[in-house]
Amino acid sequence: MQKVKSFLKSWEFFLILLLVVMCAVFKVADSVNVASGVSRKSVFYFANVLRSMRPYFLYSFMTLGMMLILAMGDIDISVGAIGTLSVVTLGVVYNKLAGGAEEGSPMALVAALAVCLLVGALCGALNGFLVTRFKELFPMIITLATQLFFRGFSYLLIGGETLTFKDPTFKSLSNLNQLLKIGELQIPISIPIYLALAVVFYIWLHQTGNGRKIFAIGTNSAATYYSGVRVDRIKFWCFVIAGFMSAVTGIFFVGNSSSSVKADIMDGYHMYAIAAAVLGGFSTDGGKGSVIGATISLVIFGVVKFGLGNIFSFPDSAVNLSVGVILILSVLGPNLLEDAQNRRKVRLRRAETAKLNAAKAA
Amino acid sequence: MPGSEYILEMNGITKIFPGVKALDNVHFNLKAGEIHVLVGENGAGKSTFIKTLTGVHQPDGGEIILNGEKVVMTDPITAQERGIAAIYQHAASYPDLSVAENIFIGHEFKIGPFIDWPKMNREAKKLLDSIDANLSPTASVGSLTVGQQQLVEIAKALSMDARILIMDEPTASLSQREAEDLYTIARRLRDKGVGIILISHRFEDIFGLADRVTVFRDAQYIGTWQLSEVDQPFLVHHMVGREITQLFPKKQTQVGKELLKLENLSRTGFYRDINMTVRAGEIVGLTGLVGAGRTEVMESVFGVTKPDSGKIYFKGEEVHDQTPTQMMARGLGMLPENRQKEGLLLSWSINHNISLSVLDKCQNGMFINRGKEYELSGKMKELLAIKAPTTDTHTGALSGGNQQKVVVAKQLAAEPQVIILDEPTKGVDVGSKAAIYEIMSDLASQGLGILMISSELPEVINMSDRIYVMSEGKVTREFTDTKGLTQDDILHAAMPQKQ
Amino acid sequence: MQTKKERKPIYSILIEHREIPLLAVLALLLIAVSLRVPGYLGNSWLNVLKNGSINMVLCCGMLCVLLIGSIDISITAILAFAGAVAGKLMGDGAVQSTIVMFLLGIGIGAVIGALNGVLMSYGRVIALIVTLSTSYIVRALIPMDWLLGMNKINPTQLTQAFKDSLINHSFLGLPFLVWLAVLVVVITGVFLKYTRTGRNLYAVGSNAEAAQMRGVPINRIRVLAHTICGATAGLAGIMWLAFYAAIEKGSALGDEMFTIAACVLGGVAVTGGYGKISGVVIGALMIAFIDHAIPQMGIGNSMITEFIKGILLLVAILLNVILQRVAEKQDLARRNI
Repeated sequence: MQKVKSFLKSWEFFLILLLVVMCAVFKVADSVNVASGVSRKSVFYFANVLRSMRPYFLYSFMTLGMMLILAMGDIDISVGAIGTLSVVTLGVVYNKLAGGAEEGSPMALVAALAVCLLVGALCGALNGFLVTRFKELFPMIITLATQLFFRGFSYLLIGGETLTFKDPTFKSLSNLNQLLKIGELQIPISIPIYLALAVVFYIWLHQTGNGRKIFAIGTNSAATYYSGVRVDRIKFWCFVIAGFMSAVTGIFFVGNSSSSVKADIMDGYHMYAIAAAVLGGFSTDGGKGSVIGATISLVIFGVVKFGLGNIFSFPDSAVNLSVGVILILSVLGPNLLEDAQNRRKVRLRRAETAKLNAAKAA
Repeated sequence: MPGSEYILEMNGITKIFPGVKALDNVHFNLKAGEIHVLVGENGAGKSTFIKTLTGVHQPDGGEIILNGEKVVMTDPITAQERGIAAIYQHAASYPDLSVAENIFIGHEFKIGPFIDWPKMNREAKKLLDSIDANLSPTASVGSLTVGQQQLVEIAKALSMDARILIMDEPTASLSQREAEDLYTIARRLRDKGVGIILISHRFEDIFGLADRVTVFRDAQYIGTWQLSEVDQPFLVHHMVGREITQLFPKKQTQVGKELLKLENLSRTGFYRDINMTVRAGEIVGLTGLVGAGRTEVMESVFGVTKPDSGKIYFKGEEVHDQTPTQMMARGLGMLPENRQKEGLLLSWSINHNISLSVLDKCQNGMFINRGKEYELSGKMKELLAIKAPTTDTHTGALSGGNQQKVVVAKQLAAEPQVIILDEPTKGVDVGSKAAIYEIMSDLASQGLGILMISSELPEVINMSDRIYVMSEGKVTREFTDTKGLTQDDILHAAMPQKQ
Repeated sequence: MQTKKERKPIYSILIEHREIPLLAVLALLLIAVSLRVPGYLGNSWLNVLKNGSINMVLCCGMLCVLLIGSIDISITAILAFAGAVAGKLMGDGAVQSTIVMFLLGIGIGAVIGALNGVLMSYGRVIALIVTLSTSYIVRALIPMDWLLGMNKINPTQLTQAFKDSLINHSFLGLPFLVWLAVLVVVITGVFLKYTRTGRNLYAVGSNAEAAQMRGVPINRIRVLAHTICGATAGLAGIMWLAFYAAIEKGSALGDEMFTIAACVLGGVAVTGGYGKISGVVIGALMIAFIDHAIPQMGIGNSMITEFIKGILLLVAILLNVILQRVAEKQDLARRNI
């Protein structure tokens, strides 16, 4: 009973509710569209939505990394730039190893992928090093600086050019964005991969001692340090993992962008990662949030984009608009609710006191 | 009724916050040219009371009569304009702004709409000189010591020509000598006809300064007395609401082998050539003025900072490159001075706080075993008599004394052999103080070595088996026998040597 | 008086005036470029100023929000939005006066900024989240049917007088564009140093709790700071429109990072409470200078400026910290303990 009650009060429950309401609205609008002849057939059904989730799950891996950072009360705005730099090195390395070959070279691709992931982790390590060694500076400022640095590095490597690969080996990367057919359903490959990783992250963050320590750091890092937790070490590795996840996102991205690499390929994507994590209950204050919440928010963003785009046929930018509105409301709403509750409590107490005083006077 | 006797009367003040009634029908009055001390345990409502007077909070009931006229303090500015100035517990200054600006902010000298900086600096210098504070008006306040910051606050109060001055625990973080200076200034202001409301936990403040005393308890008014009518036990009784029979329950213990030894430990700018030992079953007091380097030494021992030279031996073994993690594994615990910032995760439950330092013990492999966790914290809650409904209660909702017990529980859960307590009773009410002393005595009798850093001389003298006194980064004196020791003996050793 | 004239060690002067090392680096860069490209400074200083003007205006607003310990990453979105709305109105013939255009831009920006401020202070939403959201929203509004209906404002939609206003008019050899930036800098500087409200910005950033107890209306100050920031961003939008004679949905996307970078380079503390207009001016000049000078030096590829800006910011902030640590160490050593 207690458990059910606390679940009903939880943020995850609210997100599910939000998702259900949104689906209902879209479903109704879809039926109306069909009935009035605006569209020929229904578009809002499970298999179709699922199939079109693909582009929205591209930054899901980055969100996983961002969650770690936010849980510690830090922020990393360089993740987009890390993704870009990793992908650019992927392109440059592959070009060097298999540039001329018509068929491409699988070995070269494997090597390039390894370098790409390594670069992501190294960039994260640089962030982690700076954040733990220069505690006087906010992580936001440090990662702002490293963001410009990584971005600049990408430009240094390939300038304003676009590297495009036509060989079939490299093109195989786009398989990552294929749809997996299971019976009637077509599932983007990124979703099962994401879910598998999300389960790992869930267990790590919410079931292990190490995950508890990450949240402890976000709640009060000084007290956590005095409790004998290796704060710096945990911080460092979380940044490394966030960098690594950016590189993973980057690999999915190359496949998506017709196998070409540019030095601004993932500019600004950190904002999507932050938005999904924040809607999922994480906060830059640290110490709270859950993997489940973040996963539901990714789905919410996907559904919103699909619904607004395909049913209400809003332009792409309207989708961004709704992301912004949802984001503000998701933080503002609980705050306002809390204020209202407090005001009610004071009113009740006041009435009580007035009654008591009146009784005393009489 | 001679209403003119008082410059300030506050009658039937009530203030309600969500969940608590912070003030319940309390009274207070103040004459010109007197120091009126307001005492009470933490949570008795003193700070809230002051904030209703200064206009930070609006009372939900009652009236404020200032110079015979009923007033409503709508905001702090109104209060300031009516001649009420406050010096708050935590020096409420702006560290990034200059001294002059801190003094005059809100009532700057202006030419037209623009601030007249040269005049402000000149006037600030005059004010500072008038209270013998040798500070530069252009220095940033963040670079001053806490004592100097308090002087800036006083200069600010003077600059507003305050008729009523409120001092909310002004001596809490001052050294003895700085406190003396503050007393002198307070007396001088009183003689000039300023009415001073002083809030303090320190009996020295009360008996050294007060003309009258008012006691609050549990948000209620208990009574007002002339200082000559009261003594310390009387006040304690009214503050706590019951008799405290034995404040310092010290047990005789068997002193065992040496557990912690520091040899010529030095850190540039903080302390130099520190030699200390702590043995099993012993309570060692470490005292001195604030800023003498006591906490800094112990932070280095616990591994928070690195000493530049010297050696640390723990249980006879030399320790290198110590970190808190490693020292805790070896059996050293530390209770930090600022329990809200360094001791507790306030938004976490008692259970999670206690288990944080010993998560390894509550795990099956990598996974947390919640059963073991609750078992451990439940045991600790019972052992230390932490007053809370369950171990799921948030530590932020506990009283200061109970919070301190949770921090102690955290350390004890790791089963230490030596435990460092940094100001264990700071900001803890009288009732909980006795409980914490009892825990210390029990631990010592179980064979733990305890090192207690404290500025409160009565507790240092009465609880310690041995006392080290530090001054300006060095150990100036060791008292091996605490019998018959007086506060003067210790103060003498703690005073910086004149050069 | 009795205060002794103590000779201050160099590092402490450097700490107190964080803009001095920055000036030194700027001078070094100038020399390096001048050696490589003879006569560079004589030919190009005006272009540097022109290119830096818009960022300079943005920096003034950013300084205000950084001072209260907040941040605004929606400024470039506001820039694009204000420019687009004003441009649309001019294209429709609703507004023809150049002055009105500028006032319009400031007004639009101020409204959005105030909204940021209200959400951040009264709504207790973290500034980063608020401004991230408003930047999404505001940019998304630009291509809506009722606004532009497309992605771009074209030069043909603007009056000639407006397009000429900033570039083709000059005073004492400097175009109005630069004078406008100077004006904003001076107003901001005087406001921050010589008015009570300006000092309250510092007070709120330095210790908000104390400010509240002293009767400073902290929430109103916060809203004000964000309103100023929005207003400068709106003004910058009109400047952009007049300078480039075009504006689109993606204009200045991501450039807010360089505005923040300029402030940080100029020694503004992101924790709030500390920052000087002089430092910010030098920081903004530095960014403008690198943007303009590095491509002329003919090293590396066309985008090497990005790399140098990145390195420079990283080095600058780390150097600042290291310098401060050295100073602290020296202070400790002088305590003779």
